[in-house]
Amino acid sequence: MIVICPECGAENSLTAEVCQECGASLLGVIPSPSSEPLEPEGDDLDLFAQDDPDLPDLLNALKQYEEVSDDGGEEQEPTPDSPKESVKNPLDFNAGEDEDSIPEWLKRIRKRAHEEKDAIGEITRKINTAQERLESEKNGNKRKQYESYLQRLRGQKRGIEEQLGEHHESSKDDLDWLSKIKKAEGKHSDTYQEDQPSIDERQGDSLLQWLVAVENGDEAPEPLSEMEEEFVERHRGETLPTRISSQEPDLESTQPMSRDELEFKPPELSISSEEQAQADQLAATIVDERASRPDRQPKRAPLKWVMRLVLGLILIAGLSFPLFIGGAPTLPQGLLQPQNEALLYWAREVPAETSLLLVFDYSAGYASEIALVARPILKEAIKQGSAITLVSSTPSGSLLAKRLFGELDASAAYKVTDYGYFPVAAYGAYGMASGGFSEDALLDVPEMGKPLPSDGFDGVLILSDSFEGAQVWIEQISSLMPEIPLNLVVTAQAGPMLLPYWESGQVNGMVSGLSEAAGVERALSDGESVATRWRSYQTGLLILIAVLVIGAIFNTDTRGADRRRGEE
Amino acid sequence: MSLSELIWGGVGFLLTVMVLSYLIGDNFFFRLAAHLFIGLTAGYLVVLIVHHILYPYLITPLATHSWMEALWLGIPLLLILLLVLSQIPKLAGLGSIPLAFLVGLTAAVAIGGAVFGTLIPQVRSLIDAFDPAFWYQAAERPWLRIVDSALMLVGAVTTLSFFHFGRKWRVDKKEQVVERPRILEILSKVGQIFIGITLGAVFAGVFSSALLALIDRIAFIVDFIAGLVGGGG
Repeated sequence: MIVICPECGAENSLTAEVCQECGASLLGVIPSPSSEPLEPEGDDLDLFAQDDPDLPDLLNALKQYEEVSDDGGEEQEPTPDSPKESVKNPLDFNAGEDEDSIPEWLKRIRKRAHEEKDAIGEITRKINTAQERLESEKNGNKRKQYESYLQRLRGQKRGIEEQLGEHHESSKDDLDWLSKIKKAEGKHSDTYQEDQPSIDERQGDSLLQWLVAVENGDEAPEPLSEMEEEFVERHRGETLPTRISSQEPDLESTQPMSRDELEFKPPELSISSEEQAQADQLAATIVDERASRPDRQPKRAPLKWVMRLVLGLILIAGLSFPLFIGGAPTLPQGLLQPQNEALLYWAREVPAETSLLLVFDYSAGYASEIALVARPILKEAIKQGSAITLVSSTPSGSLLAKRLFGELDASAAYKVTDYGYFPVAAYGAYGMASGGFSEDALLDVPEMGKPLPSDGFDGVLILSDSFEGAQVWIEQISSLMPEIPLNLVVTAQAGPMLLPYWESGQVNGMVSGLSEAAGVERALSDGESVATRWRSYQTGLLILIAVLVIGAIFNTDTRGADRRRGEE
Repeated sequence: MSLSELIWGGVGFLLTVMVLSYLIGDNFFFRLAAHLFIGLTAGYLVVLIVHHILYPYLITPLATHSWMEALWLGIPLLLILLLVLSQIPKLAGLGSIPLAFLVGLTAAVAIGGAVFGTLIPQVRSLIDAFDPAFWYQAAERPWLRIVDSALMLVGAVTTLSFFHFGRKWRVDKKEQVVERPRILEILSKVGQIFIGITLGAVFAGVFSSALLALIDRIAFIVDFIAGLVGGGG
């Protein structure tokens, strides 16, 4: 700790009461820390470790290095991380100091010196003179230091070039990675330089190949691209990298580099063993990538396409011939199941002038199957004066109902009331089963649509193509109207899952699919609609079973082949 | 064959052939037929809902009934309005009210139906299957009914065991073990057999229905061509 005189700025010991230089009183002056320069933290001058190692930064780093050397006497190299304040000249008034860190006395002195030129004291004049002298000496020293530093760099460069040259001549064949790349280019290493294409001619060349060209020393620097040219033009004279003018006495003065100087200078190449190993690996990869391979034609795709077409045509032909050749066969016995008999019995026993609810819950794709199954049942069930109520839980239900009744050709007169489409089957089923809107509705609610039969239904017939669709209706009707006989006419895909409802007694009777429809047709001896399709149906089932078995065998073989390929 | 039958029969023939062209892979004609089907279905559905639902059940009562009666229709009208407004991003939250109403009501109806229409009747049917009076209802082969009842019971228990996802509780160490109890593992293995047989039957039914649809289309094509060649006979 020292005490600095507020009048002349001289440093005094901590115990001094008056200034030893000017005799001013030091009472009340706050001691300051010693003004010894801080030591730089780094030991090495790692210029190229900086993020942007351009020439101005290099010079700045070198300048700091020299200032430390001047102050400390012993040459110490600053690191890029070392603070600039640690090497700042304490006498430099114009340096970018932190205002808060400047003592109050120094601020007053500076202010006075700026405002009153004549008021500069003798000590201040001495300081300024000493500063100017020091600056001139430092400039001279800096120039010498720069010159010696550049000489040292040039010497190192020459040494490396000589070493590389000797190595290149003596052990040219030892550069495996170089020869491999040259081989990949189709040229022997000895003849490589003679007919080597320029860098523009080699499209897609890698960085490694460019390095090879640089190593050979015959690669011209790449010209600037349009974008680079634009950049150079835009920033000319502004922030371009600067060069040191050796003619100028002031080493810190800079001027923009010309475009020629901005052109790329190939770096010197020094390769370690690890880098060479990596280069060897990269070269092998390049060779492997560029090696010609036999084109693999997808052989299985056309085969699949042909197979699919052939199988499809066989299926269509197999279905067509029995359909139109040989007439209608006699349907076999034993097709009628107990649930079919129950439905037939109900249809026969339905009295005249009954009220029936028909639910249409199938889409147009299954219309033919439902029509084959339902037509004989409806012909039996609809009697003279029947009142039929239609409800659809599929959008096309009303249209399909019209089509079915159009094909029915019933001799009896009956009345049909179509309630239309119920978008949510559960609501429709619940509403129908709970009596509809007209009976249980609140008093002020307007009556919607047509009223349901006041005496309820004598029977319900659900025509469905799916288990879920039929299930909703069965659940609501069997739980809310258990006394009304519920019957099902469904497709073959819905039948197996609905059978438990017949087993449990919730469903009175049901018919599903063509085989059960064949039993019904035989029992009723009504028409040949099912019989004409029966032989074709059997043929189709046979073909499908054969295709499934063959497909399973081929699929197993394919899996085995895939597994074997995977193991290989 | 009338002109109308010829035109619509021709359209049906072309669409059938376009769909069957999928045999040679996905192609323009198949996609055209598929898009046509989807577009027509959507358009038909809109017309159907307006014509068969909105007009008779909402618009007509609003126009013809007294305002006291029509007041009840304010509820569905409000729900419709909220659903429409939910399409505006800032008002998307409003759509949750009608959707919640719809989902809640559907769940209530569906759960009620499932419990009283499927679960209880099916359990009762299973219990009744072991009534000796049921076994001897038919004079011949009562043992077949006994076997049938036993199979039903085994099938029901083992299938439910397959869908049991409980974990074993080790009492002494007070920790849960990932594996199920041994008895459930055995029962679920048996249940897999019943599930497999059921799914096989459903699969066969799907095949059967699809085959019948194909037969119907082939018959239609041949009939149409025969009608054209035969001069409309």
